[in-house]
Amino acid sequence: MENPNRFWIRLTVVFVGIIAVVVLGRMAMLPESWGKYGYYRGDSIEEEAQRAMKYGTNESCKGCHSEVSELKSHSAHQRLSCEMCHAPVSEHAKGSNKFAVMPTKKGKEQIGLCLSCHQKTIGRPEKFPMIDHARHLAAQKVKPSHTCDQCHTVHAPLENINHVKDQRSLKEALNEN
Amino acid sequence: MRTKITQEYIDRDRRSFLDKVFKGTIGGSLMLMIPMHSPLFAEVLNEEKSLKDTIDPMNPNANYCFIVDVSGCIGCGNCCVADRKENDVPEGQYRTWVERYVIDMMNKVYVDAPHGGEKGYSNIPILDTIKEVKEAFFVPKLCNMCDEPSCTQVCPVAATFTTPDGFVLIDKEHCVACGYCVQACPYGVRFINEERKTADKCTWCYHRVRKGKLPACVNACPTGARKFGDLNDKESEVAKIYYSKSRLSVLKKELGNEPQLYYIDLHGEVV
Amino acid sequence: MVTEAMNYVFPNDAHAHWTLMIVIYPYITGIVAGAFIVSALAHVFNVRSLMPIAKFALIFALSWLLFVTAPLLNHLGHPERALNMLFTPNFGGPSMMSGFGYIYMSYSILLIFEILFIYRYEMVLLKEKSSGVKKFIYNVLTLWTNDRSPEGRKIDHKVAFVLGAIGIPLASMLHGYVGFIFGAVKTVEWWFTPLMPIIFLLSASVSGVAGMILFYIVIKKITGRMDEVSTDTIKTLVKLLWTFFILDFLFEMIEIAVHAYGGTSGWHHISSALNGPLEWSFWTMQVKVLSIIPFFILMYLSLRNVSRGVLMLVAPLVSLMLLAQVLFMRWNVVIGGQLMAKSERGFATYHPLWFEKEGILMSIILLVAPIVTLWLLSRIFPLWESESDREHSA
Ligand code: HEC
Ligand code: HEC
Ligand code: HEC
Ligand code: HEC
Repeated sequence: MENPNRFWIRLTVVFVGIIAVVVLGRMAMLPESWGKYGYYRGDSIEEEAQRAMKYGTNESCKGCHSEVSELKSHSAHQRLSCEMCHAPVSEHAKGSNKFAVMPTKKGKEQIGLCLSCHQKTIGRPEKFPMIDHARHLAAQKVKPSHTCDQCHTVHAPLENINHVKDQRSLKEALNEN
Repeated sequence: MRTKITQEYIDRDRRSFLDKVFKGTIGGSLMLMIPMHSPLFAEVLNEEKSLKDTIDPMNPNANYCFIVDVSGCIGCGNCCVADRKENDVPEGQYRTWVERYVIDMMNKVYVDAPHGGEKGYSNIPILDTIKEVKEAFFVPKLCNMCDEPSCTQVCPVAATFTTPDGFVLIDKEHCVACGYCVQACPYGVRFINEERKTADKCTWCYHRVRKGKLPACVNACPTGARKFGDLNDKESEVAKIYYSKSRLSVLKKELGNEPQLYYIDLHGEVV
Repeated sequence: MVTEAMNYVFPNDAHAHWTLMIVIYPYITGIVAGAFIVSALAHVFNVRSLMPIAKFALIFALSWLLFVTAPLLNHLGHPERALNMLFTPNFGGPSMMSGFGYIYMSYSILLIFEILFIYRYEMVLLKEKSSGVKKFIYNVLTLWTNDRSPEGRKIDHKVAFVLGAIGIPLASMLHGYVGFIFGAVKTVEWWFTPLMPIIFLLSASVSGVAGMILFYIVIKKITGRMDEVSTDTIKTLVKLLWTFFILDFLFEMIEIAVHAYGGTSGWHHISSALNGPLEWSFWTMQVKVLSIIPFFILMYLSLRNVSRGVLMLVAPLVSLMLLAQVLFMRWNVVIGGQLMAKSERGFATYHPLWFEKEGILMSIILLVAPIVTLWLLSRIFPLWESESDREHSA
């Protein structure tokens, strides 16, 4: 005659075993830095902080392209990021030993670039200098295929125009005299 | 002696010198001759360093804040482009985007954001549907970095959390991608990254901030419509705005998430 | 007045993210919870007329229980990390979903232990008659014990009673918490209601009881033992089904009514969804065809003295309709909530494909698998009341 309690006693042992596996498993599997700052894996913060940047800042270009930087920093385009019109610095100056080609936009592409900010579009604030491409070029009496940099210096867009204006007014002033 | 000559050469025209070095006109051996104290070398090394490993320690005393000046946004999409590249966001998913609100004379509200505004805006198709525009503006959207985030609350495995310096981040090694946070976020900024198969969202470029740089989108913004800084630093632009008379508001205030993303003079129609 | 003129959703929300998998997951847990409640009524509350299917209810629950996690694992982006749910549950959040791992585990242990106690004596008897693999399985399941004493059986029944009693709240939790997962999301107006856990529990009971009726009769029919089907049992089940269904439908409608009466901005959005993308699946299917018609059929079956022939034909049909009703309800909750985009200015879309990873075919497979499993389990656990059970209860 077998002990009638045997089954439930054995099953209880199984149950305790399951709990032990879960408890031990949890202890073993808990990531090391868990709870360093709170109830999460603390190291993930440093992992995120260490992720490499792709874009630098305009300071990144200064060292090697001082002329352009200087020109731009006193112009209407001073707030613009060099990298947005060109490419991220990480694709250009990879440390001290590799220069990839830095795209400079010419022709149609350049017109598209300038118009992406300056084309008159519903939604743009009124105070922002906008042009209607066709009208702008017509007003200057040039063909629609004229690129913007034929009149504006890209990095300081009013530089030479103001220059010309200054000269003209100087001439006019001289003529009047 | 030799060093002096090289130095002069470099000083005369740094860029064309470098140009030649890297195009191989000047041999690699010359490279070795460049004195270590040359300012050029220092510059290059500095550049590399600042890009990579000058990570500041965590600053738990900072109260970081993001302010968007809606009236400054021109909808160029630079922020979205920069963000996608900086953070390797897959096509068709958005850590940040720019919406356009157009209100016509009948007070009808039209909202669109083709490609999340990444490719810029044009008047088509808005102009076909609207006869007279009363008001129109762009609204950049990104993570609200809530003080009371719904997303961290619902994460079943604590793979998203608020850091001691106040950023809501995702542990992409721990996330199971159940998508509950995607449902819970009231602002729709979360998504399951198609490539990594984990939850993903804007981090206010935590990796840049810890290196003393501005978030990529702030850096890319041509008009300064996006502003980021520490409110506890009274000299910062955000602190000046925050403590001035300008009218700041947050999105979906009634939900009680207490976002740290503020908008200046936001139109009431924006959700 | 400002009106919306364009369908606009946030760019990340263009498509529903929770797919068909998340529709059938609560569907499966619902059937588990509902079937367990039937067995508990017999084992704990001693409802005599349910005795003939008390064991079947347990095995039926188990066969669906084994597939509760399948749709979830198929949906997860990183199924290999699923155990994080046990290792680092975010109870502090508190995240409703983090309870899943432990609730599911506890409930699984409880159900399996309950089955082992209920079947122990029978398995000891069966062990002798079987050989090979089957004998080994019985040995494992009885933990190599061979006790046949009346004392042993008494212990079995006592423990099974206690486990059943604990099981009722646990089964309710297993499913009520699924309702809470949705009900606690304040972002989605369609989900955010304290009624959600109650609706989920009641609809779980509906689907469980309906499943019992359908499979009881169909299995008996297929095995050619229709004469063994107890009219009394079916009548009790039908009444039970009717009661649960009235409550379920009542709460579903109360939810809508409160929203509508409140006339909140949330209702503005909900009503345009219910009259737009959800019109067919909600009003037509869930409410009209699959609720109102079954309600009257059940009323007729419950209140009138119908003949056995009619009962055995109509009861499984109406059960099938209610099983479909619950499935539509899950769809309307899970998918419907996601269609109402957070931009409050339009609707997301969701069109499941047949052959995608989380598509229609996969869903069908996952809904058929428990039935196949039931057949496999029936080779080890005899589904119906045995001679020894009847002796004992008499
Ligand atoms: C470490 C020095 C260095 C830094 C930093 C640097 N550049 Fe350059 N850059 C060069 C050199 C050298 C070249 C010429 C390489 C070539 O032509 O392939 C060049 C070429 C270019 C060109 C192409 C000029 C042309 O004539 O086509 C552009 C545009 C440019 N850089 C932009 C930038 C921008 C924008 C940055 C800042 C994000 C930057 N560079 C940072 C060294 C640098
Ligand atoms: C508005 C967009 C824009 C911005 C901002 C911009 N560039 Fe350019 N850049 C151009 C374009 C377009 C060209 C093509 C050449 C041209 O049209 O003059 C160019 C050409 C250049 C060149 C090669 C020609 C030259 O003048 O030497 C360099 C180097 C350069 N950029 C560096 C920079 C640096 C450094 C900055 C940031 C300080 C910068 N760019 C910012 C658009 C831009
Ligand atoms: C990323 C957006 C952006 C791009 C691309 C861009 N600009 Fe600008 N531009 C600006 C901003 C911002 C200003 C300053 C506006 C202000 O002062 O309010 C500006 C100012 C100007 C101005 C002076 C307007 C004035 O009245 O002060 C001219 C001219 C101009 N840009 C021409 C160009 C040309 C040509 C290009 C193409 C090479 C170009 N821009 C590309 C953003 C851009
Ligand atoms: C033929 C020469 C010419 C070309 C080509 C040209 N511009 Fe201009 N642009 C001018 C002149 C001159 C002005 C100054 C007008 C004035 O001050 O009234 C000007 C002014 C501007 C302004 C300032 C408008 C304002 O209201 O303040 C912007 C913006 C501008 N141009 C953008 C562009 C862009 C973008 C392109 C290329 C698509 C372009 N321009 C091509 C000559 C030109």
